[in-house]
Amino acid sequence: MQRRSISASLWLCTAAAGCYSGAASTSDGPDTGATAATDGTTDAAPTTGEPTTGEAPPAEECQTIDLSPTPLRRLTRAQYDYTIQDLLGVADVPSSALDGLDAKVGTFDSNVVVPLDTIGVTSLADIAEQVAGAADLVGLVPCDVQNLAPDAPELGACVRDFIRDFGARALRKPLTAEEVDRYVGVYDLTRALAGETPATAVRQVIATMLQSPYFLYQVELGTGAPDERGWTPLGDHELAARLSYFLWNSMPDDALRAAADAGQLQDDAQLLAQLERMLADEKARRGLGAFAVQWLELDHLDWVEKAPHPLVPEFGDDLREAMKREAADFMAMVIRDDDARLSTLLTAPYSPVPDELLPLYGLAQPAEPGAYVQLDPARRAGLLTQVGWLATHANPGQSSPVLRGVVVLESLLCTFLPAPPNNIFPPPPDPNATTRERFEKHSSEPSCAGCHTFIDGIGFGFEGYDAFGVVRELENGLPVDESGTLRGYGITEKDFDGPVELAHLLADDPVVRDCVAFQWTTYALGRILATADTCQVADLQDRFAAHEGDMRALLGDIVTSPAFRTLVFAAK
Amino acid sequence: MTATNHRKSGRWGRRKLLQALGLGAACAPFIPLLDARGETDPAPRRLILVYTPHGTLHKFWNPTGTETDFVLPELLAPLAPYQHDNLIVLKGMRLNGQGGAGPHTRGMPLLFTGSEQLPGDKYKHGGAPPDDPLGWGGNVNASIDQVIAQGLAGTTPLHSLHLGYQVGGVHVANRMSFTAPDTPTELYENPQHAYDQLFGLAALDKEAYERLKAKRISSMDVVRAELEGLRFKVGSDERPKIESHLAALDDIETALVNGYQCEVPPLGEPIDHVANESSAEVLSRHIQLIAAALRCDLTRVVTLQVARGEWDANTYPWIPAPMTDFHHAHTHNAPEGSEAEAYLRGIRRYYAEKIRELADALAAVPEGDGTMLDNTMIVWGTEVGHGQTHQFTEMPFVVVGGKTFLNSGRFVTHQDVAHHRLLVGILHAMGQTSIDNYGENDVDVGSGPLPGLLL
Repeated sequence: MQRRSISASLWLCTAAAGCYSGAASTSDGPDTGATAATDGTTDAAPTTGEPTTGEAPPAEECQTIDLSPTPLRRLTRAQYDYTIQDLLGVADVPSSALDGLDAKVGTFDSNVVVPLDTIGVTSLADIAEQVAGAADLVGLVPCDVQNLAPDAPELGACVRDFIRDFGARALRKPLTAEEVDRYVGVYDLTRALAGETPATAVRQVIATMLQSPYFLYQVELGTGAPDERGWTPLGDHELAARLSYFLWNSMPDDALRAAADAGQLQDDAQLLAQLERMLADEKARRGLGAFAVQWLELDHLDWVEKAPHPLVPEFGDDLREAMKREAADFMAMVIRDDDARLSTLLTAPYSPVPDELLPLYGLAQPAEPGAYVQLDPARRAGLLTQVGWLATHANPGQSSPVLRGVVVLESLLCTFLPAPPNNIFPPPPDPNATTRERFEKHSSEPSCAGCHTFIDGIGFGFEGYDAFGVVRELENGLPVDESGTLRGYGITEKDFDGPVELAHLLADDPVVRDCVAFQWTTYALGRILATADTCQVADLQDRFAAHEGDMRALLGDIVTSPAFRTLVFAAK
Repeated sequence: MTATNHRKSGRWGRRKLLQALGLGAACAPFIPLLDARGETDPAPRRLILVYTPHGTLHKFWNPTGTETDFVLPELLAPLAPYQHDNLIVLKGMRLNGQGGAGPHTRGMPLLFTGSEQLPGDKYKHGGAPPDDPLGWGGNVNASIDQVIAQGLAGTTPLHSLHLGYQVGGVHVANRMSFTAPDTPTELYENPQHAYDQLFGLAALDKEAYERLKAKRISSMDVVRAELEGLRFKVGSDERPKIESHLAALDDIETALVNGYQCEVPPLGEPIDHVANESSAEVLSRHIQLIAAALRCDLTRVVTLQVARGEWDANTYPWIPAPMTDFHHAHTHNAPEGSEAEAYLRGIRRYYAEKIRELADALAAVPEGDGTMLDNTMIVWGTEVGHGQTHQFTEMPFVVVGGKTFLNSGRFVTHQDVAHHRLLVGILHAMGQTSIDNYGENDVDVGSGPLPGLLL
């Protein structure tokens, strides 16, 4: 039944019962339930009705798979940067003007909503010119364009070859003759201007390609007229791009393009072979790592502030990046080098701790490069006990059972909460009480308890970590109590004592397993999963269960699924 | 993950850009600039919409006295130099509009679109399934700045200018301006980026400018042809994305052909434009840019957004604060006389000082018999009346400047009048006099401009 969670509206508590508080908003960004929830809001949606805990909607019979429409997706900033790096070898892409242009699908970066306007297009043009101006043309252009005489006879053919071959990489598809001619036109026009040279004209061609819609968007047109459902199979190169942006956050490489050219990706075995090859490539750390960071909302570290801490006098970019890197690398290592099990991800007493974070773990001995650091198994178990996650979801100077509880509910249990009501009075800091004592009011007041038995029951499990995720036994001189109760939609209520027990409960729970399949599928498709997708997601959840939570198998099931290989026209 | 590190600002200054373009150092200013408008032309009217978050503290905001003889209290005191002829304080305004989201999320897009939020599932909590009742849709109108800018299209090189500080990701709840229904307008958070876009070409000589123009137009022609080719191949729901991109190319080309050069001093050393400590400096730079853009008549419509309604994690490190110093958190719990209340007073006084700085910058530009401020209407609004109650009544609206067309120098008490009337008043003031109703209202708010606003 849990797998129906995709279409379940997870009302754990009425919106009228509130008192969702105590947490300063530490976050940004659209669609972040955890953060929206920290805001004092009410009347978000219906405010009546009883909790519907544990009641899944009627299971549908999944005879056929339906899919919701495929939106046109513009590259995210990370995808844009990585693509330019891989295409041109430019290490440092000057794309800071794209700050704030990325939107979210769920917690994941995906530009499906907002069109580009003048500022965005202008910024992209500027970046394209800068990058093209800095690119090393040697190796890109098949002749020595920088030293040939401007009237050298071989230039014409050389430039045309360059446009055809480089263009196929930049635009992620073979160019038509008409398209080649257009880019030759840019070359010719530029070349004819006083003060320009063949090399600067080639740079203008590159700059143009970096502004092409085929570069900036994941253009998907399919391979023929859509059927009555609006479906058409993705083209070979469109499928290659989906695969590479999913796994690498970047463009296809030559081997993947060759496989697409040969039509091999339409075959499941060949597609899976490409998946394995691509996972083995170092670039897979980008795509797998980005999933981890966005899933657990560690991208909030970009703006989370912290009060000074004995171990961290100043919370700088290095530390923030190290926190993201630990989670990202851990995900990549579990999938690529370890057993790829969800249970390992959530319970392993080891982690690739970056050197900068060792003091927060109370450790001194750095890991071998690319290896795990063994952690105290009594205190650390998997992703949710990493300092980065604990620090992100905490207040500047104190832990936050609310923030941590909400993220577990939303990211791991796919249990979404209504917004809290008005007139919230967070428990004030009290030097003579623990955080838990202050927040226990939630559960003792009926108006708060509706949600907070769920939120705090989980969040209290992390009270043995301070605002930086450092282990503590005392708070304000009082012993911390890290016992709690796991409750959530479709979950059998279970008591636990401490984060390690909680981590194991989560790792064993089918609701978590289904939710993780849901999250990976959302990330892979870069779009909202709608009711129409229920059977597709349920099928992937079933397969994930059959593979006992093997994420590597899940990735294979996702890329060979109809949803991943089909374009569904978004038409009224 | 360095590629996604948004905190680091670009290491490519404009000098490097020029090097990359092969333009190097041989650039000298060439065109006498537009700031000397013909003395006989009537001065154009301009509009600046300003947003600051989380309402006010009415006890320290409500003026005392009569309509024309009043005293500005603490939170408006910085505007005192303008109170007799270039200020309107509006009391008793109501933000009227339905929607599914919470007050901060609902009020933000409602403020200048006057339109309700649709039911729907486009904006929602992280990862929630689409039929989750916690989702909501976009708003059903563009914001008035965009309506006005559309009416002025072609008059100035730039359609409109949008600046912001700590506004967060692209989301209906994070934006005050909407190009079209449910389409947040993009804005600049980094003043240097705005400067480069608006004034960067001023450093090019005429030959270099013409060359750049030819190259860019040639590139844009290719991009345009490709977009046109895709326009009717993508699903019809996706077509607006292509069309918006095409429209942007047209705007950019128009600006290139018109060539907008205007002498503007550089902004100064790069700063971390998202840091809490940078707030005052970022806003000062935005204000410089606004004054310069209006002086040069690059545009006549501007929005300035300070933070946002939902998910606001701004802090104000120079104002003494309780331990947890997020502005938003304290709006929920600031009893009288508390440290939190003092913090909020400090923040809101700071906003007023910045409005004053903006007014001063405009007042420093002579225009006709007066100053540019006299022909510019600054409207200052927020998304809820009061942060703790989240009320939509007693919305603290302030209008600064515009005395050549506004009935200024007044403290006006309305009896719970819908802010739609103010929106219509702004539209009329800026030439959209055929619009007597704007926004989607669920109750009768009357029609026409806010009574007594216009001369």
